[in-house]
Amino acid sequence: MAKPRVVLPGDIVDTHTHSGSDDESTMDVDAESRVLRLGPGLAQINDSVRATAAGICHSKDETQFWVTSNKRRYVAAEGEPVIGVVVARHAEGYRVDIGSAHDALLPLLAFEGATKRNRPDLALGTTVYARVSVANSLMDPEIECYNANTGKAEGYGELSEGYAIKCSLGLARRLFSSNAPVLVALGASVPMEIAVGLNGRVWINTETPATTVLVANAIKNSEFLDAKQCRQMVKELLEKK
Amino acid sequence: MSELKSSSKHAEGPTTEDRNLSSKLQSMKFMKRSAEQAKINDEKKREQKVISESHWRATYASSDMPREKPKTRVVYESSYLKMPKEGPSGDQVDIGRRSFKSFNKETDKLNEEYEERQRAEKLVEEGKKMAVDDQNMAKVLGSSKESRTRPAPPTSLRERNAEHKRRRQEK
Repeated sequence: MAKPRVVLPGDIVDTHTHSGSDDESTMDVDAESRVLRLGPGLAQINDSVRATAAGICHSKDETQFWVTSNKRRYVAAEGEPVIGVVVARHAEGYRVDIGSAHDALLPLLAFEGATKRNRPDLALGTTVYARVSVANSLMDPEIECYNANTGKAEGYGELSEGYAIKCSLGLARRLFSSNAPVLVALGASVPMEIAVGLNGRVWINTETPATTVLVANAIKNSEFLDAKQCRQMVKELLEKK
Repeated sequence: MSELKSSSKHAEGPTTEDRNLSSKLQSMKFMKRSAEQAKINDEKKREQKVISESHWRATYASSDMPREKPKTRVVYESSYLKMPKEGPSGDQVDIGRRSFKSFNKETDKLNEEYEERQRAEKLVEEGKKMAVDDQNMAKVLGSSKESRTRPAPPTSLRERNAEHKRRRQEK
């Protein structure tokens, strides 16, 4: 299966290789013994791979399959950067709302240069940019505000000032790449700082509230526009201002 | 055993002649104990029989049993970040926090470093994909006759010595 196709939950995804070899028996043996990498939205049920989410099923090299769907409800996955709001402080860390079913735990030592003596002091209601370090269906997710390998903050940490908006997960993923059309178009004329959380939240910081509102509107409008339409939309917004 | 007189008391286990013993004798404790034991053993045997009869195995008409585990191994990735990008990716890199028009100098610096690293990693990956292995390389070089600018190397000893002399003289 090379072309992307629309799937509904329960659809069987054909994962057999189509190498076109003459010897049928060896092809079956090879197909049975390889390792498939299934991304979000797919599960193996009784020997067949089925879609568990509604969306478009992509594949690459006939070993990797995944379904892209646009939802607004976030399910924590390890390694994803997220934007959260601190809701409580415990002895061992902060409870942060990242939009998943359970609030995430942010350990007090998961900051750059944090030791037992030197701990961060985040007020309740602070917005933080963090990376999900532990996420599975059995435990509450855990996040960290630094890169555990290097010990540096690398952009994670408290996001002071600014304004966070909510968007769909698909839009957040598209904004995450360096050539997202709406961000490139806005960034050419508006001085601003943006942080994208894959949990469907975007944090915007600009000089004036009016500019922040403009940027927020531009981002929300860009959900279903292609690159050219994005540039046109941004141009119109900036002219009206 | 001959008939026991009801009055005699024998220290023996229960036998069929017990019925001929008087009820007073039978109600005595030591007689009751062995009777109880015999009863318990009987019960146990009956239970065992019932349990073993209730165990059964399904017998299949066809010889191949259903497979218990699917043969294709599957590894689950729960994040879209780990999946390849759909559509043409070009020069893009994943960045979470960015600043435009020098709004935040630190973020700018971070972005540059991050982009550099990601681009370098991408180049390395693409380099690996494009790498040709030695066999193919040899094939390509061996087959093209135009690439041969030198004459074929001499094989016999005399010829080799002559070649050596010539080269030394050239130097």
